[in-house]
Amino acid sequence: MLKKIILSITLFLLPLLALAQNTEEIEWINKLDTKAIATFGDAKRLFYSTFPDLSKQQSNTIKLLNQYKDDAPLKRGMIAAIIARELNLKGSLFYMLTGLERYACRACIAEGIMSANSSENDLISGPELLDIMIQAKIAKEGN
Amino acid sequence: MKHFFVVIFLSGSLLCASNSFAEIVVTKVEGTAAYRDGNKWSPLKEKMKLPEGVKISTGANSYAIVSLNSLNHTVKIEPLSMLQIYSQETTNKTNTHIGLKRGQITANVPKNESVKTIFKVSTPVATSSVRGTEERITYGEKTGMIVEVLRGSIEATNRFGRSNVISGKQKFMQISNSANSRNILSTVRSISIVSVNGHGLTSEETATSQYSGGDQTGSPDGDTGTLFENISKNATVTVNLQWPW
Repeated sequence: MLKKIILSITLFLLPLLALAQNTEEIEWINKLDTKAIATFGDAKRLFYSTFPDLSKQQSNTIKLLNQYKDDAPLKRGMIAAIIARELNLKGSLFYMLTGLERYACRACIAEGIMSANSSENDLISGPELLDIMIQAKIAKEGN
Repeated sequence: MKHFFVVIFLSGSLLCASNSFAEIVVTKVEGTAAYRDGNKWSPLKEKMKLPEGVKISTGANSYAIVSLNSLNHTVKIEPLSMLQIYSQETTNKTNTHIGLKRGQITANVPKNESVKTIFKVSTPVATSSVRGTEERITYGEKTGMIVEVLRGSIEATNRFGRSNVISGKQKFMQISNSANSRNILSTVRSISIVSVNGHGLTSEETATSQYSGGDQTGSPDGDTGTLFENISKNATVTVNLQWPW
């Protein structure tokens, strides 16, 4: 009898848990949208949820995703390197050769993923990180 | 007294008919999408009816399609987007206003001659007005507003009132700290065989229009633009005569 009750409660709570996860992601994204400075951990989480399939395939991207601490303030060069590597951007040859984030930034600017008036050392805000990830997704899908 | 109530009822009916809220219905949800329900976010579900002024947000790798009225005006909300929808509808008029805070949407507004259609998408930097067309609009803090026309034509106006009517492969691009939008053909230039100038003209057409003005046939009122100013100049014309033909 007790087993049946536990099973019923579990079955009843499962959809509620799924719904909670649903809105939890939305709430996290909208909280990120208000952040003055995003962290590397924010970028990592957003990247994994935006490109869930690609990240499993490319081991070099995973290395980059573990290069910095999660609480490190996010610089433009950090996220540019991950995107350039993952998306195999056309203009990323110099970055592949030198490994300098500066060239990864240039490749992202050439693809329209990042704005031109900034350097690889600039800190990135939450809205800007979302903007970059939206543009990266568009660039990947060729819209 | 009876007439008074009839008049009140008819006036009320007319008032409601002239400013009634359209039915905003979710037609498809893929991945994570939510709407603002009071102080919290609630998951979006298919066939759900949403209130006027609803805020919708989509997660990464997710999208939602929302029907905005009975005329099948729809909007596809792409990943990581956030917007607010206002939609009103009467028998002869629809008025839809979407405020795009971030992300990308694809709006589909089928043309209907019998209904006056107002369909506007606003971002912090500009507004696009559309009638009988399909358009894709993207907005981000640094990239600004980008409007692409998939079908038909649209008019995009920035905060300073400067507008562009765009169609085909033209793009409207407006960043936040600029008074003017970028050239509407800036994305086409790198992929065209001939050099492309404003209004879709080639270099030769642009050179010709410098002499004859925009109207190369002359206006009905006799204004021939700058044609007469240049008419006294010498010119060399090569004519090939073929005989017999």
